[in-house]
Amino acid sequence: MENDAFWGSNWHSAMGKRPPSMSSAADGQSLPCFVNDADLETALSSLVSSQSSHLAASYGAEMRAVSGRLGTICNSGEISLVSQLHSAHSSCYSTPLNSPPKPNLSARDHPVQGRGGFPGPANPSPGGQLMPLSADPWFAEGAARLSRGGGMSSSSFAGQLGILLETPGKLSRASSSKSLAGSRIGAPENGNEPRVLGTALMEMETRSRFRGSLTPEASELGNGREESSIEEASSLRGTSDSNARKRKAVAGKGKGKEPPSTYSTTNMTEENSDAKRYKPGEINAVVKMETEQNGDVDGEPRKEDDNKAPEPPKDYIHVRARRGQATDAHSLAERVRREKISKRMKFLQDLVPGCNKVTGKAVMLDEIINYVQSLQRQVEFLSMKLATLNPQLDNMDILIPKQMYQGHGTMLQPVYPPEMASAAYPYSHQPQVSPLQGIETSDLESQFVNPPSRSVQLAPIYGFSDATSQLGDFCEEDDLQSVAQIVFRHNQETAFSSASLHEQMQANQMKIEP
Amino acid sequence: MAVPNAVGESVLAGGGERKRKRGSEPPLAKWRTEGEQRIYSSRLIEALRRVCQSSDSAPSASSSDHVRSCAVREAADRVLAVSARGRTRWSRAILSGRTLKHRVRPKARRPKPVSTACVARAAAQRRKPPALEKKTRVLGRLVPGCRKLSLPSLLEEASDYITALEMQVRAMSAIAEAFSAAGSASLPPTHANPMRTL
Repeated sequence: MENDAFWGSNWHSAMGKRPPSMSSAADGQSLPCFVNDADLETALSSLVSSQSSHLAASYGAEMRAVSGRLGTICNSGEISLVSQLHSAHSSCYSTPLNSPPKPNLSARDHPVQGRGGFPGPANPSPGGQLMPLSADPWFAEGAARLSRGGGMSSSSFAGQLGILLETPGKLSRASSSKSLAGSRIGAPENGNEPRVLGTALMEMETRSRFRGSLTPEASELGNGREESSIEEASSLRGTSDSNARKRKAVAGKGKGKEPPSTYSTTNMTEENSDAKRYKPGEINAVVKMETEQNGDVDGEPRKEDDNKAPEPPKDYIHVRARRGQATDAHSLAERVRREKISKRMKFLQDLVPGCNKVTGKAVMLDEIINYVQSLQRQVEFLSMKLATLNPQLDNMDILIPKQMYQGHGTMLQPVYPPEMASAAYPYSHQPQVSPLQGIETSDLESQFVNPPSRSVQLAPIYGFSDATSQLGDFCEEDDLQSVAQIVFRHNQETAFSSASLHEQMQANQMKIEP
Repeated sequence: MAVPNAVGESVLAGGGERKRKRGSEPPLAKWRTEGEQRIYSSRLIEALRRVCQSSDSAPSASSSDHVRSCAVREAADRVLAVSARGRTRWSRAILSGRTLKHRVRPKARRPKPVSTACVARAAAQRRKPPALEKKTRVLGRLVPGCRKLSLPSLLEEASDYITALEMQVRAMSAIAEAFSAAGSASLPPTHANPMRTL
């Protein structure tokens, strides 16, 4: 299999004992998926042979160092990692590169969409180029996506994701690994290994556990990772870091619950510490590692990227102490505030229609202002419409079930003279009766007028409604009118009888009382 | 639109702002629910009836459509603020000082020269560009009760206000449509009835 070929070429040199287990695992796992991956494999193999050799070596060195620290767990993780790497990227590429990111994007949370689209479009181009590098982020992303369901693990996955994205091949940071090992949020699945193992191992392990669900996510992550890998390959460390940060923020946002808390904790810890201290929190560790790595690889591009990162509206939630920038409380707080603003801007971007393409705080604010103004204008227009409609219509036409049926004929038609109303209603409802709007109720009144007894019998109802109306001018009066309207309509259809009307009124009153 | 993932939504709907420190998303989900709109519609209809009664009882002054539409609009906004349950600044501002918006607003426009000074200072600090500052002021004026608010909180208030306004527009348009439909349907028979009975 060509998988074995390129894997063997890269990994065999790095990890002596791995290839045998790896090849066996690869054969077992990746075989069914390779049908689609053939072309990818070729591209990957070509690239891998050229570029990933040193990466693999670094991976191998890192893994050896880490494993030396952790012992058996790391080794097992590595082995499983390698095997998972096969299955991971093979499953990731089971479908064309474009498709995996899209469903993932749709499935993502809305706040992530702004950034989720980022790895998507960028994926196709670097798709078939840096497979092994991207394999790690797939796991991270997949693990991150998976951990959405599980509270703590999500943060750990996010951290892993960040670590993974940030250190593809830069795992020679023993100190950073140590920091990772020392600080962990507590991913139940992975225990301590993911921390220490840096990127690939953690991701592999999580991958082994959540392979199925990770497939689409990992592919998406992998695609994004390829892009970052390419950038890294071109020694644009800062860009890849920014991408990694974006993805981290994306993954973090995708969690829904955990990332905000973790990010906020990160922000707080950023403010508290100089980003040099290790706080229990993977984000901090990630920050630490990133900081170290940045300092290790290129300080300048990273600084530039950090400098221009806050400005565009697509800011990253993750607060990090950027190397070369002031780490005092002021700038950290400023950065936190900026990121808060950007976060809310992104949320508003989803709210306001047609703002997905808009970038820049000023333009976004303009759009928001326009949208709020348009909404308020709509409300004014609708209120004007309702104001003109109201006197013409009987409000009782719209009967909301939970409204209580009480009240008297407030909305009576002006056609009927007040005397009839007064005759019908012995109580002082005249001021309310005179603004006659409803039509049916007036008929009802006339009916009531004819049998005086009816009015007496109906008086209690109206008295009740009158009391309530006097109490608070509630809608009960209207409700009774609506009821009366319905009753009257019904009575019109059938031969009207005062008795039936009275019964209906009683029945309506029954409804009123409870 | 803004639909958090299934787990998040369930948690958020159940616990409110348990997991999210900012709590900006769960309240917005509240404005989108069907039940909330129904509650708002019922309350709005009550308020509309009251407005009609008051306007009809004093036919001389308030019979003009403009006054009545203003009254309707204010009633709608008040009902909306009540539906917000007082958790947001704009709702509290609406409920506490509804008249302020109409009367004191011209005075509120005065402190524009002050804002330029602030703008200059902001430009010097380069904390926020003056364009953003201006737009922040404009947005603060649009959202009731959020004039002197910082941008992050203003954005949060604006997002909640936008969702509430959307719900208000939906509810009012539904009511207006129902009214017009009912009016067109019921007018012919109602005209016939009085002739018969009288």
